[in-house]
Amino acid sequence: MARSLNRLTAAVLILFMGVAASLMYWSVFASDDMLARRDNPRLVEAERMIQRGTIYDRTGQKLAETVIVGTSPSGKAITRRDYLQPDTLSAVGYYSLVHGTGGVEEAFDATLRGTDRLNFWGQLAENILHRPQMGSDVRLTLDLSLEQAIVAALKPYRGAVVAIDVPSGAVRAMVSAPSFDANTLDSEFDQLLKDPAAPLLNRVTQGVYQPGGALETVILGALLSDKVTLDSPTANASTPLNLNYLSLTCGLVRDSSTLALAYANACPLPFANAAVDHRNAVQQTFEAFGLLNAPTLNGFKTLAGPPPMALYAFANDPLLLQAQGAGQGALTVTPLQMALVTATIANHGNAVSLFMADATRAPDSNKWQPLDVPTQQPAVTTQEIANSIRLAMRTAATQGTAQAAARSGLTIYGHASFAYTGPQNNAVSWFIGFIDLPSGNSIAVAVVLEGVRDPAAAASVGGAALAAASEMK
Amino acid sequence: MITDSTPQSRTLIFDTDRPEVDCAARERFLLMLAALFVVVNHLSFIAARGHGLSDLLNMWHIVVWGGCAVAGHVVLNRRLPHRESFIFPIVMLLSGWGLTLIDRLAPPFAARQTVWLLISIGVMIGLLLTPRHLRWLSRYRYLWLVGGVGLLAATIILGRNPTGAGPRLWLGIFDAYFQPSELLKVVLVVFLGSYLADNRDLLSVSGARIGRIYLPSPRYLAPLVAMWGVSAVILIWQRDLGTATLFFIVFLGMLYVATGRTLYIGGGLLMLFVVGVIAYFAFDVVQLRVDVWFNPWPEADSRAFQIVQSLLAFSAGGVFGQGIGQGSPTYIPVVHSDFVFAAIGEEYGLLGTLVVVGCLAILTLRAFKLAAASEAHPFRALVAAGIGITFATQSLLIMAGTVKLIPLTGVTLPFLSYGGSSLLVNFMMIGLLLIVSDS
Repeated sequence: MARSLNRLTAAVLILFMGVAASLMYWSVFASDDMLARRDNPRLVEAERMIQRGTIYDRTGQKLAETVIVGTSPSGKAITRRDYLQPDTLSAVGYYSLVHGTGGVEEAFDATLRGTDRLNFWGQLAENILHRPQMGSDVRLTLDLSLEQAIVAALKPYRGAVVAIDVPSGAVRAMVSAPSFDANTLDSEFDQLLKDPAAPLLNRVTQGVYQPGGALETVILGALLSDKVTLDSPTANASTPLNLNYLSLTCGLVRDSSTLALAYANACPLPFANAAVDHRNAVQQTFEAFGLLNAPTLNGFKTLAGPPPMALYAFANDPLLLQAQGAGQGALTVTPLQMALVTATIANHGNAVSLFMADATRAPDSNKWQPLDVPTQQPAVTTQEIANSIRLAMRTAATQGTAQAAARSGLTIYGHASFAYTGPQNNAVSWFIGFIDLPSGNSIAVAVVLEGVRDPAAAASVGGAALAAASEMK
Repeated sequence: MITDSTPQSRTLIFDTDRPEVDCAARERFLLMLAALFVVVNHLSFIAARGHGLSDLLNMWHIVVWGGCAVAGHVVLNRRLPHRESFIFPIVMLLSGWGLTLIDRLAPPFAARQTVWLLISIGVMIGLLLTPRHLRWLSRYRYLWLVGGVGLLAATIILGRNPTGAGPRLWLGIFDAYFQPSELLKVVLVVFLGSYLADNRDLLSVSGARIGRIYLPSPRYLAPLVAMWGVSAVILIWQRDLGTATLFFIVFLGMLYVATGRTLYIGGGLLMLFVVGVIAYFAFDVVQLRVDVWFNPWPEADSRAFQIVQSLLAFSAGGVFGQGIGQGSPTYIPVVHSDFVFAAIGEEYGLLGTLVVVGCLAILTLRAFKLAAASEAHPFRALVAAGIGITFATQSLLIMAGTVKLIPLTGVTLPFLSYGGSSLLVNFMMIGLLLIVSDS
């Protein structure tokens, strides 16, 4: 019996050791791979336990917050992200367990999750103590009332509006239409993806359009830098510009005998010709105004159109050069790029550096901590040229295509035009403009409306935005 | 080491000629260590649960456990002064740990399990008060057998399932349920121990011969096979295949210990394999368990959900575990019963699971040691060996199942899983083991 027992003991010990070895495999060696599996409910649970920080607008209005809605099967607090202001969602974006993050939620994800708040040891201590992960609050530079006014003005259209404070560079509004409801994103995501109107696309930062007449402001800057004056005569300015596939006319058919009037009426021919006659200056101005690069807005995905060939590469092809000058060439732009052009004019020739949030607040604190915001304002053009463009924009807003932007009691500077964009040459209308505030700051806006060949429509939306901006607290 | 086959060195591993030590003092010390762990563990759980100070009232489970430990220790001191001093502290450690785990994983069952612990200790103490020679067990072996099998057979007609669905393996009176197949474990061990003690020499003598293989005499083997067969048929009828497998392995193991013939082991394992293949095609539940054992990943969110979640629990626990009340083991269906080992893996980590493996291994080896020391009393030796084999088999079946070493069998982890019948019978076996140890 002793021999049998000895053998049995050995066999049982080996089997117990086999179990121990297997435990070691699953607990240590296979652990990382196992935990990364998509069907690991602990991943979702851990994510749902995170108490993301609240997002506020500049006046302290809550835009998004996390609320505890119950407990998980394992008895842990489960949270839900609530979006309280639907008019801000194209900027605020979304946070989804399934589809990730977008907009501000993506740009400030580390702050909102709290992963940038603690160092390695702090994080380790929180993990050991199993404290719920809490993120910091973020205060945006967006203004809720301005967002709401813009959404209301943009209601019938598909397009985008962006408003920037000058000279700070704070983004005061960022609206893309159509938008989406982040509260029901998970259930509607597939439908939103298939929607031809692309509601998930932030048109402000990622909508790439032909600039068309909107490029006239930049080319005007190039002409002024090449010693052309606003009162320089423009022969046959009202004559349609015939490109191979398009015939472009003025936005308003009126007296366009000077450069200022041609600009005010958004006549393409003088500016298309400028690309032929002043191509080096025009090329340099494109680069100086930042049209060839995606703008920087902390954490946001911003786009620029594919970099076009330099204008002097088309020296032997005037028609192509004219297309470039008329904004119907290879150069494409986003509304954010055009808003930066406008802000530069409003800032007397100096660029502004964009930012979207100016403070964060730790979960256990009542005090806002200011964020480092960019302050660089490199000179793009001279103050003299910028002031001349300002004058031309004022003319356009009082006599030209941007008249629809006018609001009583307000001095609005603007320019409205149209373009044809995309493979189907769909019409888009542009408005860029600004207003000086009593505080000494200015608000610069860019508006694009898709499917609309009516500069006045864009100007009207832009005027509404600037009027609302003038009433901001 | 078990390398030498001479009679003297064969028993070195089970050396019983060590200097006398104070069993009571050692057991008391070990029980205090167990109590320290159980109390701190439960307090940690209450702190983690965060229900406030009123949750301290839930310490009554642990107070009852403490009372059971003290009562058991006192009775053992009086009745069995020369007992094995590791066994009782180990099972009290595991059962106290189990109470906290059940409170953690399935709070509504914690009170019920505590009551079962009280009953189990009471029955164990009752056993300790019976004559220590255990002849009453050996003498009436057929009576125990008929009673046990009869109760098991009764489940075919009267069987119920406390959950209202699934196999009807329980007999119920009002709100109390008992699983006769659990009782049959101890009956099997006692019957086999008694029968083999009387007939092991005859079973060692060969009957017919096939080639170089000597077959046992059917005359003496037949009652054993018949007893096992009846039990197995009933269990298979009731789809309690895990327990049927356990019975078969215990049967083979005890036969091997009694006769020393490897033929029983080899032939038995071959039979198990053949029966397993047949069961695979005959029973959906066997097919399911083999399929998800072989490759669970394609069906991780459907048929293999339970085993995949179990493996995820071990991975989530890592080396040190998430801490009691801090993991998510309740994603595993019926975690408090069949998968309590995975819950330990998640919340106590690799270290916790190794402690459990170690405790169960020590329990098994102590039982084998007692069997070796009782060789002069074959019945006592075989009962001790049978109990060791039962604990080892049951532990290995469920632990290896939860780590995907073998297909899942759905048996409980001794002393840790929820299950009153299981706890009661396990303590009965511990009682018998302690009696054997005092000889």
